[in-house]
Amino acid sequence: MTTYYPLCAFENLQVEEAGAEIIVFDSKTKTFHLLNTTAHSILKACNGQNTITDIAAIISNGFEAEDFDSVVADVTETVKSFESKGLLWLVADEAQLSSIEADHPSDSPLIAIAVEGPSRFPVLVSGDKVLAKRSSLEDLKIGDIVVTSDQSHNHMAHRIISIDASSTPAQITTKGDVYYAPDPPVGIDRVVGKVVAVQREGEPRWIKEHESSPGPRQSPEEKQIRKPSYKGLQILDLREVSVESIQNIESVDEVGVVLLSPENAHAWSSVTATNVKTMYTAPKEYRVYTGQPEILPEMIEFLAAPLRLIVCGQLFLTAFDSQQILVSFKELIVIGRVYVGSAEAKSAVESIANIIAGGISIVPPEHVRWLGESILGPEIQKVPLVAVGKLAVAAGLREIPQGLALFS
Amino acid sequence: MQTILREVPILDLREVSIDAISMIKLVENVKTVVVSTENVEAFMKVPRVNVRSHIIVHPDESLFFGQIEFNDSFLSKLPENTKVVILGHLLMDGFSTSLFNERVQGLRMYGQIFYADKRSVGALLARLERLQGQLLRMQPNAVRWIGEINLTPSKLGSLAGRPVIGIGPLNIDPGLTPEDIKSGISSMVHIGEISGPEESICALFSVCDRHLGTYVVKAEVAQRAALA
Repeated sequence: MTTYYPLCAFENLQVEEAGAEIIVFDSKTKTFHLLNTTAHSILKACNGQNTITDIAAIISNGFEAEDFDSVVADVTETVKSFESKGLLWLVADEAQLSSIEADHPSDSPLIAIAVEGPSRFPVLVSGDKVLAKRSSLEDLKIGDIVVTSDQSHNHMAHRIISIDASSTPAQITTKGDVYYAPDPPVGIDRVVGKVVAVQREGEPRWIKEHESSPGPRQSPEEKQIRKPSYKGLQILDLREVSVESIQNIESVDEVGVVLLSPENAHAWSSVTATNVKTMYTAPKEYRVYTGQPEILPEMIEFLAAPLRLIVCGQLFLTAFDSQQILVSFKELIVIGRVYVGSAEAKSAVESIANIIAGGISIVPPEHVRWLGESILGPEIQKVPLVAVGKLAVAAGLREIPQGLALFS
Repeated sequence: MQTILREVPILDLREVSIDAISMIKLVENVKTVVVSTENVEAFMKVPRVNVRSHIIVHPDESLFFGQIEFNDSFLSKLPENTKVVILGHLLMDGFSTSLFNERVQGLRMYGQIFYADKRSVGALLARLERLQGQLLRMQPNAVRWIGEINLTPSKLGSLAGRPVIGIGPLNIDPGLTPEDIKSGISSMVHIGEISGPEESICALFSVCDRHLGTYVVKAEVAQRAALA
């Protein structure tokens, strides 16, 4: 027997008092419901953490009921009625997954699954629970966050980046928002459900269904010419852009990094994205450097707090020792290679970095640096030399100088 | 009446009303579009083709364009706690860090930063919220070559051995020998394409402490011209 925790679908409901009764307007179905005060109390107690018995106890405390079993029966009936009208979800714990499947072969109660680990930070943090709805292949699309299960029944909530419907069973590829590499593809049978909400400290935060958002009315012609698209960018920083504007994007193609804020990340699933290397959700406080910045330890004495930094390009930290790195940086995401001056500094970078897509290399702290396409001729005198990119050798050069480090 | 805006390096729309932006039919071949927090949402609905970047400037930020010598003279003209946005190049031989901390609350930089003084750049980095460009060390009091440069014997002679920073394509005159280049330039930091005879390019690379860009051997230039 599955234990359910009813959760009111408040994200769709507008509640107004009308004398002794309560009017509930469901904006999703455009339907009005008239509730008495008891029914309204039951609905309010449906917070996704109370069982039917808990709700009955709350109602009993507020009213002089003589028989608790009859209160439980009344609450059960009311909750069923609410569920049939779409006013609430039934939530079950992940441990009851098999009994849910037995009780509801085709229906879709939400499954609450605890989140552990950093891969969805800052959208999700350890201690959160995701609420997943069992979904068929037709319900899923690129950008949806889904819970998948491995052979040991460990769960993982990652975002869909591709769907191969031609395979049998259909294959889904996901990726954690802060990870550079995608997860191995899994069959649709491994998808537990699509994440529809996150419960943090007991409060549900709903992930909106973009298709249900009507948006401004536009003529077909207007729709055709009014939507912007982005192509061939190193970075597309959408952190200060509204949800509506993201939903208005026609397409994103050949972009290195897309940055979203925790407030608008959910809107990304409505965007048609191809050849996007990585997508990262970062609060606005994160600094973003693109190019090939060389950061110096001289900044430490002026820092109010350690840096939370995203770098799209090569990052040079060769002048830092390990202690200076630990003091200077709190979070580090580098879509490129990091260059340090010692093995200890490399270990320090590894300890604070969230992502380093291009690896970490140790080079001499003081060096000549050429980036791009360069040519090495017999006149070369300044070494050590770090060349990043293509390095040609002139015909007159008889011997490659000592102290050359090439990264191509 | 709808407007099409194209072929401009910087399109500054900060003072343009939402109604006027909604009349823009297309923005094409623009390197950078500057918008305000008030009209960014309107601009997001405008179709764009080949727009490299857009910058949102907040009402409490001050925007500067072009090549800026970031020194005490510049800083002293800023009000206290200014949030600075720079669209261009920033050149720093050094400044008073106390004056910088008093006048600059935050900095967003879209362009190259060249610095000679480590303590100054340390103070700047501590407040650098956004960087879209390079951060490169230069020698103190370096000669600035901004834009397309033809490196001729007279140009080289005018240096008198001083270090150079160059931003932009640099064409080496065939009349210059590798020895001329090595003896004429003590140190160089360059961003951009270098073209000329191969041995001259190699000589120029040999004096570059930092280089970012590409090179084209002059024979290839002639070949490309012939093909065109």
